[in-house]
Amino acid sequence: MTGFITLFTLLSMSVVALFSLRQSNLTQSVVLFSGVGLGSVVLFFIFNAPDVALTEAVIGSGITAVVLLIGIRHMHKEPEIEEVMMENRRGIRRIAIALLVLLTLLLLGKTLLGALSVETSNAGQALLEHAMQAGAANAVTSVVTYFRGFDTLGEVAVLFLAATGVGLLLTVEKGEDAIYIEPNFILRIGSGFLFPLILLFGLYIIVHGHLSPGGGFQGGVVIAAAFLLLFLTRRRFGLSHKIVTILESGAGMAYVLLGLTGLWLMGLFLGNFLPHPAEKIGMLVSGGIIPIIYILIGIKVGSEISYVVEKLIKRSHDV
Amino acid sequence: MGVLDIFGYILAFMGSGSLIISGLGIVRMPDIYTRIHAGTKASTLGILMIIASAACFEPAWSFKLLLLGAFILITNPLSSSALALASYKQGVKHLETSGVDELADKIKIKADSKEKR
Amino acid sequence: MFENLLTWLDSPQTLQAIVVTGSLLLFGIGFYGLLAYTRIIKILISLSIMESALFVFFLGLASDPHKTAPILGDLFKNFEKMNDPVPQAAILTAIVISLATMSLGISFAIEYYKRTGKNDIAQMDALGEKR
Repeated sequence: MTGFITLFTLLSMSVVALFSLRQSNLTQSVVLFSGVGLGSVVLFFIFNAPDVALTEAVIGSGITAVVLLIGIRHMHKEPEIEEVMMENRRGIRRIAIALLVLLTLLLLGKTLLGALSVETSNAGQALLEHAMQAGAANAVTSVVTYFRGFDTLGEVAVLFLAATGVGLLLTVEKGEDAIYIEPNFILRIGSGFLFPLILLFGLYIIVHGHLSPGGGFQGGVVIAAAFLLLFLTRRRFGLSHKIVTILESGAGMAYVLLGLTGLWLMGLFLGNFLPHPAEKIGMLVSGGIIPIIYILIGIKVGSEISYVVEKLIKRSHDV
Repeated sequence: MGVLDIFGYILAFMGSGSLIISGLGIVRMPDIYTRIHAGTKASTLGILMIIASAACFEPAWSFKLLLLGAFILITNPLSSSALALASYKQGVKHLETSGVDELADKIKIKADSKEKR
Repeated sequence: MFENLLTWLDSPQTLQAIVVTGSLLLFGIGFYGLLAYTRIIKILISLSIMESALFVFFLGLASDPHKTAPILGDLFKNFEKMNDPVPQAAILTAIVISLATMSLGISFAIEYYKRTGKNDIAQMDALGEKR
């Protein structure tokens, strides 16, 4: 059944992607594009990667579409030439399609004949044997925060750089160009109900990152989605710049300090210096510093993505 | 098979039937407002029934399922009302045969009362 | 007949072929969009489609449907016969980075549009280049 579902989902993803590109209306094209993300959620789930499926569901088919829609809203004037397709580009297009079809058929033939047999799933088997010692029930979490914790620090730094870039680019006077449509009564009251629920859900995902699929990245983006709801329904609502700065930089500094403490006590960066007995795996308080690191990542990602979304929506200098 | 299990199967069957009706409605209805109508009411009922059936099968999960049900009960009507209002403000026409347009009357009354002031 | 087809689709060789060709097809569609369309939003969408294809390719080749997800639970008490967690962690971080780069690209596009009124790479001439 796995093969059939994979084939069907990949085919429908391709069809949706093609339709999304061929739409002349940009909004429809973005909505169709989030369907591609939905298809890859299904695929990641059958590939036994629930962590990645959750991330793709939150980011790939959720926030990415919102970011694109905000971009369309800011660039609302239609271009002078409808659906520009320059003459010399048509040739490139035909050549590209022909090349790709040829390459696809070649690869299909080769793979079906068994000439391209890829040895899979041996890169992390050695890590999987040591995963018991990390003390987290979710091996992906122990890879992200413990075995490859230094890489994750670098990755969070890239996120910070992107947020800084958005903040630097989108600086205009206060209140100019804010996207805001007066909500109706139901939406205004309902968003007040929903905000704490979504925030609670995000915190739940972050705190249970070492036990179940999820963690700091996914939960942080869910929290940013909760703030997005408030930005869209309340005209005067804005993040306090000071609190965002303190949360963001404090979490980053705490991450580095935790790593240095591990270096001092255990002799390796991000060494797990808190007790993490293997028999406590599955409890909420277990895994030593792994849940602490994921909570810090959650705070950092949540504040950064909320800041990016606010900047994109309001395009304002100081709120 | 206990009584609770039978009850769960019946609920799951009715819920999936309601979801099928909702999907059919989205395909068959003539304009956007009736489509939203079909897609909201029937699918909310169907999802709630399926959640209730899951609670019948696994009574230990009932608190989380209750939260889930409350979440769906808030979000589903909320998003479709926002969609309907947005398409109304964009000027999407409804079918002539659907008759009354109460929102237009309300907006007219509001504008009139503002003029009087 | 139908049963045979399903079992043939489930064999590891065929599954690998499906993943490779399908994600290559998706990548090709994204590539076509990148070349053939000139509006910035379309270009960003094509880049995202190519990214999705890459993620599917990577995870599809790294996972084995006969093993379980690498998470302990009530039925799984130790990390045996589980999928490789390293590619999953890598793709997880890549998805988050793709969101960050996408929002940076969108903000570049918005600023360019606000300054020049153009959102189409075929019409961009702010640096004095000929059209």
